[in-house]
Amino acid sequence: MHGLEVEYYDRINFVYLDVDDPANESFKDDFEFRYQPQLVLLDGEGQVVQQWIGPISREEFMEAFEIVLSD
Amino acid sequence: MKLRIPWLYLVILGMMILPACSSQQTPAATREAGLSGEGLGLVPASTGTPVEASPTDHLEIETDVVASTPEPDLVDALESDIYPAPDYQFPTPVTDPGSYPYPSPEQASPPPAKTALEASDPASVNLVSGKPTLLEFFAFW
Repeated sequence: MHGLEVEYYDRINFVYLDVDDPANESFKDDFEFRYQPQLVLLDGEGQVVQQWIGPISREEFMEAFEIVLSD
Repeated sequence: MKLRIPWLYLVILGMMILPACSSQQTPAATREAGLSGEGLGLVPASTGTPVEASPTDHLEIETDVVASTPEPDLVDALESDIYPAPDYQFPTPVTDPGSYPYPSPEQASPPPAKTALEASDPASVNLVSGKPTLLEFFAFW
């Protein structure tokens, strides 16, 4: 994920939320958090484009990034 | 005849002792004699008092061997650069009030490589900023 952040830092916002932080309870409810790691890709308007639970490959991320950036 | 022989011995002995006594002079007298050449029995080139070495002669010799000696004014200036005066104020950067103080997003530099996961500030999270967002729920354990 850190390598993707370096590559897409100027086009995509990367947000890391600690599930043990009480301040993130609203986010967990909004996106129906189940277990970590859980990743949610949102467009510029805050709409969910895609969700992943568990380990995901780098290529899968890049493919999703290109789709959301092309829109 | 018998009486002259001992006297002869005494005369010869005196002639041997006298030069030795004359060589046991004081160091100052010896130095002066050496400068003037008298102690060595040298004849000075010119009559009169011996010429003393001037301070510049010594520097001239040194300059031939070493790089030119900086002038005293230049030395002082160089030393002042090393240790600025106490009342010296370092120039403050002049910023244009109209200029954007922070680099534009297009000019933003990439974030440094992270060695550990860092949680984002929930209060600063903006999901409708116009840019796509990848939200990751994680735990440190």
